Amino acid sequence: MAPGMVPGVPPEPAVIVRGAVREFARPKPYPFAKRPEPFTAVAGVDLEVPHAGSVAIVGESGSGKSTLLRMVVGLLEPTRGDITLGPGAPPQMIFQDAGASLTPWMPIGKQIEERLMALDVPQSERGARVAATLEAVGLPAEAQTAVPRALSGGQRQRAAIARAIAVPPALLACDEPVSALDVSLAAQVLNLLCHLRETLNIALLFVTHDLAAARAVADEVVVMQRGEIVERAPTEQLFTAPAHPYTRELIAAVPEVREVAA
Amino acid sequence: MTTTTEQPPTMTEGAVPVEGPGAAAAREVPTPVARMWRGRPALSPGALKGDTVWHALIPVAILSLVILIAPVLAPYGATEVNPVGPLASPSPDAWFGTDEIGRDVFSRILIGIRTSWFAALGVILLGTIIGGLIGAIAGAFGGKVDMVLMRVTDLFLSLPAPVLAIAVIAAMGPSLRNTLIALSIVWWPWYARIVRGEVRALAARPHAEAAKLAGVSRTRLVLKHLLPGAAAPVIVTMSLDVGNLILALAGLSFIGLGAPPPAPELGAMSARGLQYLFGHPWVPIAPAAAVALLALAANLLGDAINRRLDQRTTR
Ligand SMILES: Nc1ncnc2c1ncn2[C@@H]1O[C@H](COP(=O)(O)OP(=O)(O)OP(=O)(O)O)[C@@H](O)[C@H]1O
Ligand SMILES: [Mg+2]
Repeated sequence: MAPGMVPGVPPEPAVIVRGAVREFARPKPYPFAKRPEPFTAVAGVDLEVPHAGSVAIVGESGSGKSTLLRMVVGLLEPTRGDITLGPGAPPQMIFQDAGASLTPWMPIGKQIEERLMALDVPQSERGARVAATLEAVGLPAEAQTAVPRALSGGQRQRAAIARAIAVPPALLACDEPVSALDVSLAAQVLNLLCHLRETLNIALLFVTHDLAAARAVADEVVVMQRGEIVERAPTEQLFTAPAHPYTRELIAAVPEVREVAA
Repeated sequence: MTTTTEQPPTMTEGAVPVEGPGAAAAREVPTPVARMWRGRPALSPGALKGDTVWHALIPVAILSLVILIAPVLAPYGATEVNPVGPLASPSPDAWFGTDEIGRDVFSRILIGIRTSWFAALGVILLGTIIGGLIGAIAGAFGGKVDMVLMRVTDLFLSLPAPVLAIAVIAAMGPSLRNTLIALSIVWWPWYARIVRGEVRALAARPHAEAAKLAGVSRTRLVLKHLLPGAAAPVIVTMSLDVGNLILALAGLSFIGLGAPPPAPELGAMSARGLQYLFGHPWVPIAPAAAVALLALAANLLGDAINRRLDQRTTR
């Protein structure tokens, strides 16, 4: 049983988002011009990821998915609204471009160790923890001394996951964790995420363009459009009875899923 | 990238079943799921030892060593008189002849090259340290700190470099040390700009944000995740600058703003020998040729380093 859980009491959600709004200032068209209205990337989102739950966010490009994730993990302050994190280690994130989220000149092992250092894991334990984490994500032990450039794209993806779970967070945000991978690799990474969720009770909040992936991993799917959530439903319901026209469009765009939905 | 012969797991299979220790124990150390990755790929062996930018500096170190020990080949000291007499023509006894006092030009050039080379390296190192520090602080903090530091840098950049150098030397008196200080004052702003630009650019890249999210401290972020990325462009600029500095130093010493007379400085030697240009041309031309050769060597080296680091940083 995870720490902080009391029998009989439902565990607190990993994160509760209430009315989150994020605006970005637009540049002035010319000096001394009046400040233009800010651009609203996320326009009032309510969202809840249950303890060890799994929520997928789908939506077109530019709909504010990454911005929402960055607010959830604390990389961006919301302009308005509240983000309440549940108990446990602070959230981590797998970035949209996982390879670029690794420092190019630093060996993978060192980057994982930094995460342990940040949470005051004693020096004597770090080596073993790094090795165990690499093993957990299926990277060979040599990867510890390799710089990111020496790894393949999929290996870098796993290295980024390794850093995020070296100290298991209560919530793992994944920004399109599989969109850059081929089908079998994507399946492996999705399996890994599911496995982490079940063994370590890590809640998942992940963005995807791949509805099949959402279906395989998520309990609930939310659909975003222009910064707002336009539909939210348990995964199966979303596929069998999509309510919003944009959702129908999305489902129609995936041939194999349409057959199931019809 | 995997070479597994097994059927890859499909997405609809969902998660692999949980085995081994319970979830609570697993929270301490992640359970191995190596089972899922049968046929883990080996990493390419050469790729593991990523060569660092510092390796590019090996040729500079070798050349410096050669220049450092070259004066042991000098048959005479810097102010020692060659017995062949003053203004002697080049001969096996005095390879580049002798000057108006009878000092051996070849010996003085070997020693002068050493002064010029290390003086140039010294100015560049000092400029890089001062500029790097200011640039790193400006780039890392941003906002007001950045603005103030960069306006100061701009101020120094806007000063006409030769005039400032001459003014500093005129105020403090001509000596090699003062020349180096003067040149460092006009040289650091370029490095501040480069480092600041690189640090800012790197700070906007995902790896910096990811390190922040991983909980890396601010100092560590700058030192380990940002500054190393500025090393390559700074080293390229440094190596291409050595030639410029050798010329600048020779120029200042030519107009009398280097070390005072008996010191074997290439620029000053050339200037003082100028009156013997007709009749005893080796006296002014040999040190001038040495400056040209040294600057050429420095530029060729800089080019080589530039090309090497360019390749390396293509990611
Ligand atoms: N730092 C920023 N400054 C200004 N505008 C931004 C910034 N970050 C995001 N935006 C804008 O906010 C909007 C939403 O961006 P976001 O990255 O969240 O989209 P997304 O849903 O993740 O898209 P994609 O699927 O392409 O990744 C975009 O129009 C983007 O231009
Ligand atoms: Mg995005």
